[in-house]
Amino acid sequence: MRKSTLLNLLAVLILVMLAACQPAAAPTEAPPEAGPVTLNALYMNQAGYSDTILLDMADQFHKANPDVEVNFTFVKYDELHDKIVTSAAASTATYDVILLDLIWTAEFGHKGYVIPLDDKITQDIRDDIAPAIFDAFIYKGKTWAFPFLANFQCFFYNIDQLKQAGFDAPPATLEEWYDQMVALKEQGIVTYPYIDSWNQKEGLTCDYVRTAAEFGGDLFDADGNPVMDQGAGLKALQFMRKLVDEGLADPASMTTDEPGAMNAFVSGAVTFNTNWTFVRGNMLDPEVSTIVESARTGLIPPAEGVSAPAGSISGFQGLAIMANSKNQDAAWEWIKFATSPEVQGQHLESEFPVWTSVQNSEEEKRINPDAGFYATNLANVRHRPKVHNYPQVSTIIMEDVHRCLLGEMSPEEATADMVTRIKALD
Amino acid sequence: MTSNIRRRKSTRKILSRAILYVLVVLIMVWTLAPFTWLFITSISTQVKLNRIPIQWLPDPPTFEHYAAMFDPASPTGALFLAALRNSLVIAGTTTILCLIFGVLAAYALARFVFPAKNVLIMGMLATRLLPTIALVIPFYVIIVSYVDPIIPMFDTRHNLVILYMSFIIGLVVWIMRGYFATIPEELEDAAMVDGCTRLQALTHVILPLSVPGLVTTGLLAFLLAWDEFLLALIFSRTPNAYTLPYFVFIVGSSQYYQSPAAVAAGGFLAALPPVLLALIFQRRLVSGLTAGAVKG
Amino acid sequence: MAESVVRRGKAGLLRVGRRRGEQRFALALMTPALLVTLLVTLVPLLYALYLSFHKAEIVVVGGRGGLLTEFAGLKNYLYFLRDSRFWYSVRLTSYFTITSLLIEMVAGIGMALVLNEEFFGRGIVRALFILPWAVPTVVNARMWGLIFEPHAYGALNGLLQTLHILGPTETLNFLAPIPIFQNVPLLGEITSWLGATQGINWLIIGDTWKVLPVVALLTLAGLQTIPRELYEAAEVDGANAWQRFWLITLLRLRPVLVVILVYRTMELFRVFDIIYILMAYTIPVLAIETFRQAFVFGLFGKGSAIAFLIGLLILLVAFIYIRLIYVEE
Repeated sequence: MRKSTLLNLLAVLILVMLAACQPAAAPTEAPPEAGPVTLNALYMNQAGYSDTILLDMADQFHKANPDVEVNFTFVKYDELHDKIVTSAAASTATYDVILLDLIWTAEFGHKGYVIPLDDKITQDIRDDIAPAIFDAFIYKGKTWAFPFLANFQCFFYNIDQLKQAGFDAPPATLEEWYDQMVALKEQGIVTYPYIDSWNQKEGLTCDYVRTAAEFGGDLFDADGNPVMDQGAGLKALQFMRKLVDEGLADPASMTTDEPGAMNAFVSGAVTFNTNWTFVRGNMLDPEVSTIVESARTGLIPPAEGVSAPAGSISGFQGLAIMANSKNQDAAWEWIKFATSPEVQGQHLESEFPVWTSVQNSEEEKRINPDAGFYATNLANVRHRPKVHNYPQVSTIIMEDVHRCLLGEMSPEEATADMVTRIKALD
Repeated sequence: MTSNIRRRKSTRKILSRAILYVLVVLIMVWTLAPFTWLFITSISTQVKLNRIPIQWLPDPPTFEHYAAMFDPASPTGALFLAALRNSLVIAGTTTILCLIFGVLAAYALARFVFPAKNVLIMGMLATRLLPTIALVIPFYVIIVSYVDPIIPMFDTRHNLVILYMSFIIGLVVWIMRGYFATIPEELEDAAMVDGCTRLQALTHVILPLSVPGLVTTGLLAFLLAWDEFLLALIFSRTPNAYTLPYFVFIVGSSQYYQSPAAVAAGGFLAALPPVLLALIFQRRLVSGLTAGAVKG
Repeated sequence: MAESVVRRGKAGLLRVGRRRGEQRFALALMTPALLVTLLVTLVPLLYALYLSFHKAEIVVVGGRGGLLTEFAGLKNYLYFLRDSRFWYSVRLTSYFTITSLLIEMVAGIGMALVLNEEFFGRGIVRALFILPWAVPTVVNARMWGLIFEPHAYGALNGLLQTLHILGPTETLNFLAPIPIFQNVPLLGEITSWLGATQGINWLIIGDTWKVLPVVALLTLAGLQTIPRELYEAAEVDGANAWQRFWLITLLRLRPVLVVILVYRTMELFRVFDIIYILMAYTIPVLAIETFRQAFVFGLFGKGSAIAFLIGLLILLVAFIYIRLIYVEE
């Protein structure tokens, strides 16, 4: 009957359409070790170890291991976490290797999204990487990712503007830094002496932890309890708020992210920026920066009375293997290669290596004259709390810090609120 | 006396004409300025964009950002071309399928009386009202936990086609039903008296008459599918299924480097197909929207 | 004469036949569309309802992902209904919706009135006018992100500086999440409570730019159905311009305006794209909050609960509006 032919036609049409738009199945599900393997790696676009460098590494790896090819997906940092979380449960692994920010170690370990790597890491590997770096990836006694990039914050300043204000050196303490900012503003050399990335994202939590580091303390105690309503945590928020209230920090900081802060710095609009190491390459690049001659790197100044020579924050990244990956052995081979001292030694101009031996090498000192500042900042990093519900904790911190900086809460109210809300999480 | 009145009337008339033209110019500036800025930014160099005080025209203009988009060797280019292909396939397939199924359903609703008809109409309309976010969560859980192990769905184009159909088909049915209602039933009656079946009446008589409505509805469906962001954000992972909106979301903005020019170039290219379609078929689209609005 | 009677008679017979045998045919025609709608809308909705009564997380065991659920009764719903942040989101979303609607309707009607007049180049103007609507939401978001750049090299700041509205070192931070009139005593508290921040206001402008063509062109179509004679007759009767507008134009436009109102309210209440892209989670409209609970925190039970609450709110508004429309008919 006409009716059934119509329906048959429809059914055929649907099948044709679906067939037409069905792509080749995602990663090849070849049985491991038998035949060529394609690894899918999720990575973030960044300046250090840029996409070109990663692709280059992949090429080298392929030449050494013709059976394995590495395929990259590059995304923004903000996207990384959600992409990993939403593909962790898919039965066909979309990614085999992922870039893991240290703040996700506890969450991913707890939920089983990545596999522990302890049986693959030998003791002499552990010896050549600073414990502070390795520690970041250990949770409940297991190592969940291998250190790949030791990112941290540095102090960047414009020496010409400082000289105009009558200073010939960067500040050695936080108090001196404050005085310099006041002078720069009073003399009208810049409208706002300082900018930072204080929009309501992870960067704000980072900057808060860093400021607390400058005051010599942490936001959480050794048992993982929130203590930001006392000591360094409270002083840090009071200091940040003071900078905003007195017009020393650019109000645009509230809606600026890290690249935005860098742009303001390299355009000469502000004198100081505390930011990740990527700024150094950009500030010295005439295609991007208008202050190539006057931009400098330095130590993030600690407060008076703090024994450490600097205070910084860790933004370490590691490479991890997804639990639903079908190519875990090949994935480990790639990780071993990409993180090896030889490969990192080839790209010293782009990133600071994780290996202590390479950090101290002559080559590194030659390529990066600021290696000394880097090493000191790195040695004095503080970490964000290692808890498995970190996204919720960080959200609470960012919300309350942001509201405080916008003037809606006092630092005392904000820190007390943070402690209450974090304790209320189940 | 009369000459005074006449003069007053004509000055008032000139004044009101002048105001009218000023308003028209303002409307045009408001409409076109932002998009023009987008284009200007896309042909500027990065240093120029960081200049204070602002520099309005690029000097010199450069098409390097566009070249990068179409260069399969560069990461941006590879991503853009994949996203372009995916968007075309997904939006095209969705439109075709929605038109076919939607037209059939719209015809049934326009011509027949059967129980629960109003409920069904309201139901189809309601799908357009539900916020996508309310459906994304169960979609995600169902697909990842139940469907995916059997039929790979996650990060595929057909997944997005099916999900897009959910909210577009209602729109198609709604507009085409109103459209069919304006076509007199006598035409099909005449055809059937002459020996056609119902179905033949539909395909040979009604559909040819409905071409304008079909074109309009198809355009609207295509634009809606092209535009969709949230579902693509959740369900695409690799260049297998990235769409252009997702590409525009991530382009030119890495953790460490913002390139407004690349953003502008990507955005401009992503906007070009729908903008051109809208400008060319502008009359059709407006009449389609109006028909949907007035007849509904 | 006789012929047409026969025809009508035959048609009448055919019509009777239709109601019986061909009902099945009608349903067959509708099946594919119904299937899609049922499968892809109703089933997920019911599943979301199920999830909302549980604590649900996704864990990976032995390489396979699965849903870990624990019955929680009404706990998720109560969590939000008791949370001041949830109600803030509701107020914020309502503020966004109502303010946008006001601006869109007023500007849209205004533009339609202008476009309804005769002037040189009207065809081109009307054609170009649709451009903003065709720009995808993502492109629109990023474009306004560039325009609202808080430094002097951003378009709007640069424009204001060029026009000497701002001094050479002044810049405005448009997308700041600071309540407007923050320092005015009573007003500041109201705007804080509503979530009426500077950021969201400028976002409303950006969103409105994209949407105005639809509102204006639909209104224009309605305007074109009003015969000139009505206005002329009213003028003769002594009605001034304002009275003519109020009593003739708006009255005639009412059906179209109601449809626009319904359509835009639905769209505005579930706004996501432009806010997510430009402000991430800083402006917690309902859709953003839902997204965050589910995909950032991984709490699918809570996410479903809040999604249902949004759905209920929208259906409520929809019912009210639909009642209004059917009252018209």
